[in-house]
Amino acid sequence: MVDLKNVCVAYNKGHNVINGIDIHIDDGDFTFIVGASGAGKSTLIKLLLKEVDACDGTVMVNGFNLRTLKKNRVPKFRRTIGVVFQDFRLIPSMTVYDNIAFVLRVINAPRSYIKKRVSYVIGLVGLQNKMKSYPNELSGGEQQRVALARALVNDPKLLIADEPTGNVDPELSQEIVGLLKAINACGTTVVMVTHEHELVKHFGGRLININQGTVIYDDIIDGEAESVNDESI
Amino acid sequence: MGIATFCVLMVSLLLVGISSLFVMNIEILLESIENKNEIVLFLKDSVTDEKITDAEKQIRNIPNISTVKYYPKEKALEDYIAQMKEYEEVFDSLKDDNPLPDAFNISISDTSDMIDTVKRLEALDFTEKVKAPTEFAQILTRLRRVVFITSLALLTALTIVSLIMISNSTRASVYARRREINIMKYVGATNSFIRIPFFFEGLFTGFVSGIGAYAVTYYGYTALMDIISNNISFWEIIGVSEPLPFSQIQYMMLATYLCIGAFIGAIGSVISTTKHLQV
Repeated sequence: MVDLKNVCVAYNKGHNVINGIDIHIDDGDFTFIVGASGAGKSTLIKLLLKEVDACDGTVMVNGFNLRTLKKNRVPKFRRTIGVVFQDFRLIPSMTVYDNIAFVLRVINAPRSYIKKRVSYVIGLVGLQNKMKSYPNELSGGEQQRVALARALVNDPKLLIADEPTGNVDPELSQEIVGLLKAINACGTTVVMVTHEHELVKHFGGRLININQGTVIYDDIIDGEAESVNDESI
Repeated sequence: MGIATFCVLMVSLLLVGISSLFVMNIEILLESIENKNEIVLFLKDSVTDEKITDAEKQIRNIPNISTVKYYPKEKALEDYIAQMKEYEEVFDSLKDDNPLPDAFNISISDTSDMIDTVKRLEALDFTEKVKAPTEFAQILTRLRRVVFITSLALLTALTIVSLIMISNSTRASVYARRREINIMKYVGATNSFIRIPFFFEGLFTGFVSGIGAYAVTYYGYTALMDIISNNISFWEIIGVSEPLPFSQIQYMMLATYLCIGAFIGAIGSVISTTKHLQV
């Protein structure tokens, strides 16, 4: 669950990048966040990951109050979240298996569990035969699927995808969002930041449009529906 | 941490190690010269043999006195005869009525206090005269001070330069792995979990660099000493018995290299990692 109330974020005093935002995302929701460059999307993601702090308002994510969360509790909080980045952020010196497994090693999970769980999520994203490959041996789409598997392996309550289709071709984009939808169908809350309007139109769901640090649109749109108001995107 | 960090750390350790060896040898040289500076206290003719022991006791009670050796006039005459054999006959005639005074050869612990010690010796009631190389002692004291200050400045400068070099090298090595650190932070790794591998890697690199530096110092120093002492009697020319033997300091040197190398390697890595943990 994400609950932002009257949240402000400022990098420099007097200039708010996020300006009094109110967003509530329930468990199990799938939410698209769109907006032009500099609208505040990345800052919003950083806020949800406790990478930046709000200067005002309330920030609740997965039951953690991020405004009062102590530094030493941040790792525990982040273990409830999965993140997928536009540039995949895979470790080039590790195989696909190890890129995913190290998330569980970080939390000292037992070896047998790691083996079982990693094999399972690799299967979910359809990369069983690439387990021993290195990231540079994979296509962009495959790398993003590894990133997705890595985000999922810890069974997060919330999955944040920051422009996950930005570095892949349109066909693969649909495949990746399809995977995110499937993950969402299993109960994981998904927040996806994108600037690809076509994808949003195709899949539908809750859409939040941000402009100059404020929410200018927040509603549910139908997938493949002509009723989508283009101005809202 | 790669070969670059290992090399930088090894060279830095070598710089400090070689400078320390140089300073230690200079110290030995000065000490050796210092030990050759004896004070001679000539006794009054009135001092009888019975009073010699008492006089020696009084001298020993003076602060800064290291050794006191009685030098009777008979021995002094013998030494003169031995040194100037061409005048043997002249000296032989003096044997019955030896004009030389009895004396004490005295060495002191701290040459910088020589003037004060000489004054105290002169004040003793049995003292006829005190002969001491006070001017030379002053020069030596000044030289020691210059060597001390120069070596301290040199070691400090080298340590600072080494730390900067190592810091840059480890920073570059950690920077190359910032992505890994960044991802670890996002998936909920604690700072200590991230630091531990870097800490041990730094520790190991520092340890291996220490061994490398020790090996280079050992072979370099012993080879240099062999060349110097075999080709010319260098140490005899400068009046010193021999340089500092490596065997005397080998364990201290190895331990110092290993400890400093491991410490700097580990701490350097941890400090360089900290910057990338602010995610």
